[in-house]
Amino acid sequence: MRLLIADDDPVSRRLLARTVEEMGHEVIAVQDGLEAWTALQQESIHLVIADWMMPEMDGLELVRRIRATTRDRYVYVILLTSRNERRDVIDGLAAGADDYIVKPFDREELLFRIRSGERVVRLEEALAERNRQLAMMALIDGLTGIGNRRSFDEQFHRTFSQAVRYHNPLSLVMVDIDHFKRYNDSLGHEAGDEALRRVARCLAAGIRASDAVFRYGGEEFVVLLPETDREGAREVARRLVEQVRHEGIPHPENPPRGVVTISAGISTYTPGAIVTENELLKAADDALYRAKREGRDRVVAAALPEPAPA
Amino acid sequence: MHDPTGNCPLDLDEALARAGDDREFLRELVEMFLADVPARLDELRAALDAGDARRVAAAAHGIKGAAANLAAEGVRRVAFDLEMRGRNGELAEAPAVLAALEEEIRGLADWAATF
Repeated sequence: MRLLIADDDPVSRRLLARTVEEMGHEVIAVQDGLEAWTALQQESIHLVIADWMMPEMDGLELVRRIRATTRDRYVYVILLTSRNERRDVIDGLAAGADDYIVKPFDREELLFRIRSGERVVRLEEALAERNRQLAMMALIDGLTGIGNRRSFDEQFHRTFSQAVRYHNPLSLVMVDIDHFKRYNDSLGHEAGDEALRRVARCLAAGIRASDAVFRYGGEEFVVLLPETDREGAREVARRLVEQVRHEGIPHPENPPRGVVTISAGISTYTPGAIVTENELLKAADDALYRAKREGRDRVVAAALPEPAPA
Repeated sequence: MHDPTGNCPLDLDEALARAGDDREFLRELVEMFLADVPARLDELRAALDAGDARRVAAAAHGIKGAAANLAAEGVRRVAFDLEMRGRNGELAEAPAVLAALEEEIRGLADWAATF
């Protein structure tokens, strides 16, 4: 496993690191809570051993932050506490620590507590793997929890056929996160995944009950709007763009707003028009491309063949 | 290696057990402690001069914890005394206790030189 050790006392840090390395694990050792938090953003860490009293951010606050953030794997946390603070152990466990060990720690005890942690970590990994397999077979995108590409393809086909049959309009909104590659590159993949989750939640919250949003690609989403014409789609799309902007996820590499924004391309099937599913998709994609070209953080609607006047 | 007066600053058996029975490693740890402690003592003095009881407690707590890792009972005990005075806001006798702490640490440094 890869372990993070956070302790401001160099002797304690060294002792912990040595014990952990002798167990065959990889160690990252830091001296305060803030360094610990930074390391957690940048590395994939299985288990944390953190001292309670540390500068910048104490062990308790560190645990709270870890538990408040969704990560792609579970982080097992052991808090180091001295005898005086024993009554605070409840606070530590309540904040989400998995275990505690009293300082000065006993080597053998530490060894076995880390082993317990390892069991939990391995169990969680097996569970996550099983879930990934299930997600592949299912119609849900594992990361964001919304419909996946296969699910979209099926629903689009069905909804489009119905629209044609019952002479209803149908719109698509193709959504893409602006400068997402830059976001991932500068803030790391954990942060990128969290941004994807937040944007997905935003989009899902911004649509109506009869609509559906799917993850279409890496940083691309598609919204299906049955019985919605171009104007209606524009309204929905504008609202989504605003909501994502309003979410205020910091993105320094996305000027001018400096927060995560999306671009959206709309295409609409108007009853009677001669257009295929693929053409509708392509039109939305082209409109999305134009939205990017014209400055991002905006909506562009495709001009599609209108039906000939009756 | 207990000195003739029987006043060893470290419980050697326990210290070695903590260091995985590796004398070299224990030596390294003691050196680390001795290199790190002057800054902690400076902080303690500054806190005492400022009459800041909580700061005194925090600084003493740190030294106590560090000493406990090495089974340096003398240092640990005095640091704990100072910590409790800080926690209870009783700094009147603290300067004398600080002097005693510095004495214990000097004793540890002397012992380390021959270890």
